[in-house]
Amino acid sequence: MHDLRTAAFIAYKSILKGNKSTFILLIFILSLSFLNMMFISGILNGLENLFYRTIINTYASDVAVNPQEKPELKQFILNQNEVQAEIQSIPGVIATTRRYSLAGSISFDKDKNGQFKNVSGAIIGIDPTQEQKVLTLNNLIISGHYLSDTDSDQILLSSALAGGYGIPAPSDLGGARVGDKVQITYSNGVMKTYTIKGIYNDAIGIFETFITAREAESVLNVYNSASQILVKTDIDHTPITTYQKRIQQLQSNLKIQTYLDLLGSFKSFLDALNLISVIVSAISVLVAAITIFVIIYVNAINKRKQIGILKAIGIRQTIIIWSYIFQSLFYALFGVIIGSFIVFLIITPLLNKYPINVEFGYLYLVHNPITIIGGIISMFLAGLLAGYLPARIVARQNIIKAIWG
Amino acid sequence: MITVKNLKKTYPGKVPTPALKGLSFIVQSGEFIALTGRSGSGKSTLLHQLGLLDNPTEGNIMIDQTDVLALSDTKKTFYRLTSLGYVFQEYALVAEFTALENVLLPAMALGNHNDQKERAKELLSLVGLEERLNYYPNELSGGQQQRVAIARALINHPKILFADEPTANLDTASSKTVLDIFLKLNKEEKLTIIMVTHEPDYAKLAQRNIELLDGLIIKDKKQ
Repeated sequence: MHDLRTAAFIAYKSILKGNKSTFILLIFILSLSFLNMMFISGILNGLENLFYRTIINTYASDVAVNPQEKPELKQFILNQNEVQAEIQSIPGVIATTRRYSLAGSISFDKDKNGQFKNVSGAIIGIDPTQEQKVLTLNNLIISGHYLSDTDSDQILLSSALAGGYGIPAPSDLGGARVGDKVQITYSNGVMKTYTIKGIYNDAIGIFETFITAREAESVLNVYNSASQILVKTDIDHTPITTYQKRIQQLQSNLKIQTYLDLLGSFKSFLDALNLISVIVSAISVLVAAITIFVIIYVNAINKRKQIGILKAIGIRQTIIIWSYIFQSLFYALFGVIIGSFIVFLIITPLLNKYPINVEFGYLYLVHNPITIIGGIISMFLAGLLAGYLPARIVARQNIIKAIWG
Repeated sequence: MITVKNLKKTYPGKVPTPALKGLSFIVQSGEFIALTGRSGSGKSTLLHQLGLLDNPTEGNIMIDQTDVLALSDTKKTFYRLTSLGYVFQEYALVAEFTALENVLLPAMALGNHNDQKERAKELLSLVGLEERLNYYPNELSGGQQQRVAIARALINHPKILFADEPTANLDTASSKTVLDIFLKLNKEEKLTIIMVTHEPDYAKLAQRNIELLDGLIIKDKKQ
């Protein structure tokens, strides 16, 4: 114990009476390393968060109830009014909405010369008023208007499918706009002409075209059914899996999925974001470790003679090594404190007030406790290693060589 | 008592350099010995071997029945801390420590920090620095720094004090002060002192003079 106390005392005095410029430079670099680690991971977390939010709000909702798959695959959820009412009665369920999924081909003759451009894709029938309580499609309208419950010959078109909005799509209609007429040929052979009522911003690439549920029922010739019921829940207070289980208990024959099951191709994108976050954090920690190592090593080399003298008067090597470890841990601590101050008390509040506007929403810095704790632990581990290695190299030198060269 | 038998030290290299060529002698407890000789005669090398700062190539050193060369590095370090005191030519103080802290450092390493604070002050008083306890080395003269180094060497009650040309960088007055302290310690505390010096006048103050030439003892005379 007194070894550690002696080491701490040597470290304390070395820092207190050491070179102030070196101290400031070291703390500055370490603060930047920590800040960089927290900022990049915060941005990537924010981006991930924004993606989840966008997917939940515009596409997947929290929970999706799908038709029975086993023992026999059904096309629709029958008696959807009753099913929806039952789900709605679960505590914590905020709203539900049904959807019809159809497939079809949309044709558009922009120049009215008989040259049609065609795109194939999903046509979704929605209850516009109810849909607004679950998803935010209505907020994404960039041209024209959102659908009304009674609309029958109007559609909402994706900006990616409309074309000319700078959003890449496998194919588009070459510049369809609000008021233009398009023809949809459904997979069941029904062919109808619709007017584009609105175009929504499809930055994340949903590529879906919306009609009213009423219109979908007329095309499909069904009633009181749904291809899917989307459920908005209070997931901030109850885990999503709890809702999944409760709904499953009520509707044991239906297939219940959470937004996590519906991520699809976004999953790989989000995984890539996580990987980038880990790589950037690792690089920041490495930079911090190398910085501490170099400075402690140079410091130890400069104090080689002093180290030799300490050994000569009987100070144990472990005390000397620990004194350097304490110094580097102190530098790491200071770096973390100052870096935290900048990132959590300056940058984060600033970005919360003025978030970065990206194509599909506002990007905030999001810090999660695991990343923060991981960052702090990484900085301290880096400090521990970067203090230990150079001190050990120098402290192991022969006393005579250390003192007299 | 220190018993040195056939002590040899050869520095390795393309052409190995023999620095000590088989020295044997006995130092009685309480003796004050001056090690003299020309530059390169091996006196500092001998002091380093006796002070356990270096390992001889061959030979044997017994200090009070302890075969000190057989000790592990860790035990040698502990032995230096508890039983040996060392005063270097260039004061060798820790720049970031005050005079008092420099003296206390070996006691702190031994876990006696609080108990020894008064002794540290007494030792600094013994070497005439009671007014300079909280001065840093760069605020002290060379002679004062050397006296702090002496106080530090004494803090853990060593059996033997090794001094490697302790007056080489000091003016005459400071040198005299340092030597007076050594004489006082030797006389009053019965401390064994082995001092390397170039100065014949200072060597005469010791009870015994061992003179080396080319790694061999050419004179071992009681004075």
